[in-house]
Amino acid sequence: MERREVLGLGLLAGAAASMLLLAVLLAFYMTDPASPPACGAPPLPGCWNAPPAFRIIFFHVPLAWTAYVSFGVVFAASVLYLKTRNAKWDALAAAAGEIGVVMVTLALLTGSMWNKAELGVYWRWEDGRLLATFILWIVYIAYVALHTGSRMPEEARLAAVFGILAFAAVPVSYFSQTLLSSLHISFRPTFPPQTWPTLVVGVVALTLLFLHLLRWRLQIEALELRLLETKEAMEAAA
Amino acid sequence: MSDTAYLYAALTVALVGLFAYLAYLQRRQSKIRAEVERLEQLVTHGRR
Repeated sequence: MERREVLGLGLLAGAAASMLLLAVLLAFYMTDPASPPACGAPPLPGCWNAPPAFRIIFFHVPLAWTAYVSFGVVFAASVLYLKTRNAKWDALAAAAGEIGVVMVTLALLTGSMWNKAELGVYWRWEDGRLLATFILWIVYIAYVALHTGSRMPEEARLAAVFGILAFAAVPVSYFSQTLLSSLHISFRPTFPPQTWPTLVVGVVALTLLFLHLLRWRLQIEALELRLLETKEAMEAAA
Repeated sequence: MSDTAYLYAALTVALVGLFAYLAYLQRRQSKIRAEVERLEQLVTHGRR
């Protein structure tokens, strides 16, 4: 690996780690835990059944945001691949798709734990937001499975078409809160005032982590390509 | 489980998930790099 690449990866990793640390400090030590109003009898509008679990928002939302950004990158890279047929766009789409699946998996898991604390159940199939995000998860697992590593142009073309079509699941997941029946927690005026800056720091931290992971994953793609070329050269020489 | 326990369980899941993915990438990179170096050495020795 070149020195510049190592330095770039190190700088991004350092920035992501620092922002993550700041996000954790803000979320756990600088946000007033008593601020979200608890539900009493009679329950106030916009009250919280489980105020301590509210802090899950500080990593659940950045994880979901990063997943959406990853799938946006898959979409853009897939369009560019179909336009240029340059393999680097296929590699970028494959890398972003894999990271997106990791992020959406963690967003689903952390969200279901918050659901359990706030609403008493881990999962409700009749909830439009949960169902739409579950479908999004399945769609992108299928997308990742399409990249078998053969690097055949036909496979890359099919994956690019799938990557473009799959992106339709992103706005469906995002807007399912308002379009479909959902008990998913929406932004409320009863959010503590410190919520927004803490959320912004979390989103920036996870976006930096995403960029770091993307660069790293692309380096692995380049290594895999080198391995494939070496194998082909050996077969040709044999 | 208390509400606070759900908070820490969710934080643990997020951190363990992220670190598991980092470890997977590290392992995958080391494995492929070792294989590339082994094959390239074979090619170099074969040419001599």
